[in-house]
Parts: sequence; structure tokens; C-alpha cells
Amino acid sequence: MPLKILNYVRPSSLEQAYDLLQEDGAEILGGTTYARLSNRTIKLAIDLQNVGIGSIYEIGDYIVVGAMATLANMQFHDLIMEYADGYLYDVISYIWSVQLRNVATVGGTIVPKWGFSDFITALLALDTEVEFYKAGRMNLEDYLKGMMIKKDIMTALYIKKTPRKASFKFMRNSEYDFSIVNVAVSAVNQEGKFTNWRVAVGARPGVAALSYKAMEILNNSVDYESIEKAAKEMKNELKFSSDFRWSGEYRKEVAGTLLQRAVKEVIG
Amino acid sequence: MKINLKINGVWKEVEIDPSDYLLDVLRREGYLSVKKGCDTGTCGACTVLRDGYPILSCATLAATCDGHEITTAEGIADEMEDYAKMLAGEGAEQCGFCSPGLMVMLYALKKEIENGKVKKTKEDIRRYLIGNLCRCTGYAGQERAIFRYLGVE
Ligand SMILES: Cc1cc2nc3c(=O)[nH]c(=O)nc-3n(C[C@H](O)[C@H](O)[C@H](O)COP(=O)(O)OP(=O)(O)OC[C@H]3O[C@@H](n4cnc5c(N)ncnc54)[C@H](O)[C@@H]3O)c2cc1C
Ligand code: FES
Ligand code: FES
Repeated sequence: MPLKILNYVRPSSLEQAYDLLQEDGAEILGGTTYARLSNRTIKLAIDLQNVGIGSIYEIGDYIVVGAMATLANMQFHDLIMEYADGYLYDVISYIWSVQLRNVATVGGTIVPKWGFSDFITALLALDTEVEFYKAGRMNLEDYLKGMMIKKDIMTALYIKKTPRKASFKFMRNSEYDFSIVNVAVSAVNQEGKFTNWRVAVGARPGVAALSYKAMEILNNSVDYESIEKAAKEMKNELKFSSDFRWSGEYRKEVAGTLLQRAVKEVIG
Repeated sequence: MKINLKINGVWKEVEIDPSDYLLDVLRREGYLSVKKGCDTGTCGACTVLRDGYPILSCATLAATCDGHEITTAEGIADEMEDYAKMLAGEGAEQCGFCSPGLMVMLYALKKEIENGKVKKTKEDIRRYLIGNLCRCTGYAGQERAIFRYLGVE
């Protein structure tokens, strides 16, 4: 049985949308590209297209991306194309097709915390925060580690414009498949010296997590030996498991290699 | 529920169920160029334009399109004739099931090249069309035809 929707509403303010969401069986609609693959009944589907959370703009040191912006809106926005040499532009281009990215929303891609997500891993390697209407603003990492926030509305993604250089690597069985493991790495580039490393590993198959051990090693030195050591420590620190696609052991080994490649790409 | 769609330049009031996807509504309304291939967002056979941008009609709830403009292959008939000749000229069509979706994408691609969002290179064009699968041709003929048509060496 496909997704069944009993009632559809298009509120005109966040407040109204939030109140409606508190009803039993009410759910938010993003682009519905993923929601449609499930077979459940939504009693009240709430479409956020008129509540004014679809734009992308700058506030102080941050790029703010409204949760209802599509992945394509984000990908082609000048602020995104310019930041970190277009790192996010490239990452988004790996998320299947132009047609999918014209529908899928930023909120719908972050809120469910899917393990396979390329987008979440890539964002976790930057200085990013998410904002919910009631729960407020929090680090993306805290959001990913915490309990699912239910009956709330994600309003925006905040990307701090720290001068980072970043690299994203993934392994897939074919270009058409989801990532079997993915790694994103970034560092602050201060006149050629790389500091403040962030190392995120996703599709383990659990949702992306930071490797603090790898980050500590790279923050001390970034030579050949320490890059190898960072990969080794990351493999000990993070949990890798098996699923129908790959074994946990294989994922772990590939993640180590991708990490080394990503760090080498950042330092150039 | 009732929604209003501007389909190929004409406003229409359409009766839908809130669970209906745009693909099924369009086919019910007689726009049969819109094909149901995978029905999971993967193959691109159901591609239409919403407010000028290509989307997957199988993955888009019809209700969310209320008040929006939809263009199907029927709405760009002149261009379709050109594209059909171009594909046939390179032997790039077999069953033809994927062709309307591909041609709607080609129409969108030309616009994106014109406004500088997509570069006119083989690599960028391939990436733009990655979501249009074809079971028959192996893509070589389609690529040859499209590259030649767009003047890409
Ligand atoms: C064919 C195909 C290929 C794909 N390939 C990739 C890939 O290569 N890499 C990758 O990372 N992903 C991939 N995806 C996943 C894709 O990224 C998701 O389908 C998409 O991002 C979901 O966005 P959406 O807006 O359609 O979400 P929806 O399906 O609308 O929503 C998902 C969930 O989020 C909730 N939600 C949405 N917006 C909000 C909000 N503002 N506040 C609170 N809750 C909200 C909804 O209630 C729902 O539970 C693929 C999907 C498909 C169908
Ligand atoms: S039918 Fe929509 S993508 Fe295949
Ligand atoms: S020609 Fe048959 S699917 Fe493309």
C-alpha cells in the first residue's frame, strides 16, 4: 500500500503550521521524494511552501538556508557556489538527479537523519547548525546525536563562513546507488597552515559522526605518518556495521582510505 | 479536493485525492506523454516542468502543485518534433518510452546553458541528464545525437 494522505493543508504562517502539527496523525511535507516510498497513512499533511522558510541569504558570518529551499535552490545559489570553492555545490550534485534535487528540500534531507545521507556527512564537516521553530538553534552534531525532535518544524540551516577547505569522498556500488560509506573532511586554511580539522564519516551505515581522535591527530600535525594514524584511530573510534550492501569490516577499511585521500586533497 | 493547475498554458480546475501524485493526475487528464517507469523517483520517464524547472511528477504530490504552472511534452510540441528528428537521425530511439522525459530535460538543459547555470561540455551535459534512464539504447546514440544537436565537440 502506498503512502496515503487523508487531508492536505497549506498554512500561511509557521505558527499556524506548528499548531496544526500538534494534531494527532499530522506530519510535515518536504518535497515528498522519500516520504512517498513508505506505506503509511498521514491524517493531516502540512505543506510549508507558503510559510516563508524557502530563501537563502547571509546574516553576519552565516549563510542561512531556509528548510523549504530545494537542494537545487541551494546548489545554484551564489553564496553556496562561492563558499569553500563550491564544496557543497559538488556534494549536492551527487544526490541523484536534477529532477530530484528540484523537489527534495533541505529540511526533508536533514530532519530524518538518514544514515546513507551524503548531505549530512558533508555538512557535519563544516561549522553548521540547524534551527527548529520551538526547539531553537543547535549544532548539527548535537541534533544528530540527540533524540529525534518530534512535532516540531525545522526552519533553517546555518553554515558559518569559516575559511575552510573541504573534501568529500564516497564509495558506491554504482553511480545510481546510495553511498556505502562516505567521508567529509575540512580544515581552516590560515595562509597555507591548516588548523581546526573536522572529520565526518557517514553511511557506516549509521548516521554521520565526527572522529575526535582523527581531528586531534591532524590538529597536531599533517604529515604522511599522521594522516595514516588519523585513519587508523578513526577506524578504532567509530562503529561500522554490516547490512545488505557491505560488511562493517569492509566499510571500515574503505573509510580509512577515503579519509586519507580527503585529507591529502585538502592540504593539496 | 479541487486544485488549479496551469497545464501547458491553460488553467484547469482538477479534482484530486490528497494522496494523488502529479504523474497520475496528468495522465488521467490526458497528458499521456508523461510516462510511469519506475514510480520511485529513479528513471526520469515522468519528468515535467513545474514553474519552468524539471521535476519528477511521480514523486511530487499533486496537491503541492496547486497554483503552479506545469509543462508536459505536449506543451512544447514544436521543440519535441525537432528533438524527435534529432534522436531518430542518430538511431537513438528504440521503444521510445524514455523519450518524452528525456526531451523535456533537453528543453530545460538548453535554458540552463543559455543562462549560464550549466556549462556546454560533455561532462556537464551528461551530469544534467543522469536521471533519465533508458532500457534500450545504451545511451551512446542519445549522447551522440544530443552533443551534435547542441554543437558540443
Ligand atoms: C531515486 C533517489 C535517489 C537518491 N539518491 C540519494 C543520494 O545519492 N544521496 C543522498 O544523500 N540521498 C539520496 N536520496 C535521498 C534524497 O536525498 C531524499 O529523498 C530527499 O532529500 C528527501 O527530501 P524531501 O524534501 O523530499 O523529504 P520528504 O520525503 O518530504 O520528507 C522526509 C521527512 O522529513 C520530514 N520533514 C521534511 N521537512 C521538514 C521540516 N522542515 N521540518 C520537520 N520535518 C520535516 C517529513 O515529515 C518526512 O518525515 C535519493 C532519493 C531518491 C528517491
Ligand atoms: S516514473 Fe518517475 S522517476 Fe521513474
Ligand atoms: S528507447 Fe526504450 S527506454 Fe529508451
